Amino acid sequence: MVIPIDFEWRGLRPEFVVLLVIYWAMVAPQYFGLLSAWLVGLLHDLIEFSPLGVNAIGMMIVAYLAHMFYPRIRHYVFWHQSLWIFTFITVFSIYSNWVSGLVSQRESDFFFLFTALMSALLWPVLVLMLKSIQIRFRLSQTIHNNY
Amino acid sequence: MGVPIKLLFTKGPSYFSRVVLLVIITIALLVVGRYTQWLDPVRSKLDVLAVPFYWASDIPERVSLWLDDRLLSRQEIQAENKLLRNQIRVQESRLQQMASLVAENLRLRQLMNSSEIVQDRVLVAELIGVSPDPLVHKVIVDKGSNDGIYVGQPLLDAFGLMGQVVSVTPYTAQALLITDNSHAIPVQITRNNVRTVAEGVGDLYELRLRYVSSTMDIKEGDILVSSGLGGRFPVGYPVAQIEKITFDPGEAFATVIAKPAARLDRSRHVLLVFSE
Repeated sequence: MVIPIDFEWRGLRPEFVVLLVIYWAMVAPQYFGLLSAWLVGLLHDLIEFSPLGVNAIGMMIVAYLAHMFYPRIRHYVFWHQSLWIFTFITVFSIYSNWVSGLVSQRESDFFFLFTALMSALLWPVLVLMLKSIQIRFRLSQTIHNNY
Repeated sequence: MGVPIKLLFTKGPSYFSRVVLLVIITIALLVVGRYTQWLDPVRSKLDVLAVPFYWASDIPERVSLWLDDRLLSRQEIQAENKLLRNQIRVQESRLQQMASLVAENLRLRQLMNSSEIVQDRVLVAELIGVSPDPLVHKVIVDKGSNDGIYVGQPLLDAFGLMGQVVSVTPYTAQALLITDNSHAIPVQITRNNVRTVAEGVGDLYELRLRYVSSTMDIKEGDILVSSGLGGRFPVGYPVAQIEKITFDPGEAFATVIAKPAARLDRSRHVLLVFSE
């Protein structure tokens, strides 16, 4: 998430942390609740130098959405899930852009659509990777396996 | 809502009241952070938490630099050596001129009874992180308060002024670049010493000049250097070059766009200037 990217390409950076939050919120909702998502968002604010709370509120909303929709989404195929992820990330970006526009004057543009698109494309890769880790280390026995 | 979440309902506050509580806390945080300075000391302590992330994301860059250092062929080193020797020769000859010019400048200043410009002490630092948000122009350098870095210290690269330090931890420091849209720097034109203010607009390759009247003597290609007004930046470091001037008769002021002299997006080695 802080890996340096050329200035011209910065709009294409996927929201990696939000994807992780969505994944955790869907795999282990009883361990990864709203407070955890909120704390992750706060840490993300610190790292991104944004005003405290901007990402926190967005992450919490995304976790809330993930908790609400995961019984439906987890049965979908990857490309269908990606559509949902696109929507989630768009909601996240609109919210955090709006909030950061309220607390610090900054212009926002249509960058967030590219961000959401890149994140949606990354989602299947991320899920396959994290699932293989989960299987390799037998995490599915400790975490309630409902994904 | 699914079954696992229902588990939460048996103990503690309900799911919805958690949402409300967290939203209220967040709004309080945002309002306090926006309108007061109370969070600043907390924030500068917590900034330490961000350092390992930047340190880790910098590892590939450091590895590739290290490999570049190790895997040079003899010819390449010799060619580079030759180039550097030539560069030193050219610069030494310029320096000779410089010595006489400095002496002359000093004499003239003494004649005018103005204070002398003292040679500034500098510390070389390396960038270890760049803000991932395209609209926040901040960098992290690998020197901190243990090396004597302080808030407000100017940051340069080999080509010009880059920005200023805004937050310090023991081993790192955060610097705001001159192109961030919350940054402004007092400058003057070298050709005629006209003073203006150059503001960042959130674009790494662009600065804008504030309040330039249509009668001001300013041309495309003029070099802007720091004027030292405001006491934060030292005098005479190159800041930008005027790229485009648009006089619109309907507007009170002209739109002036300048290109920063420092290579804000590619300099890895930077200088921190001690003004005292």
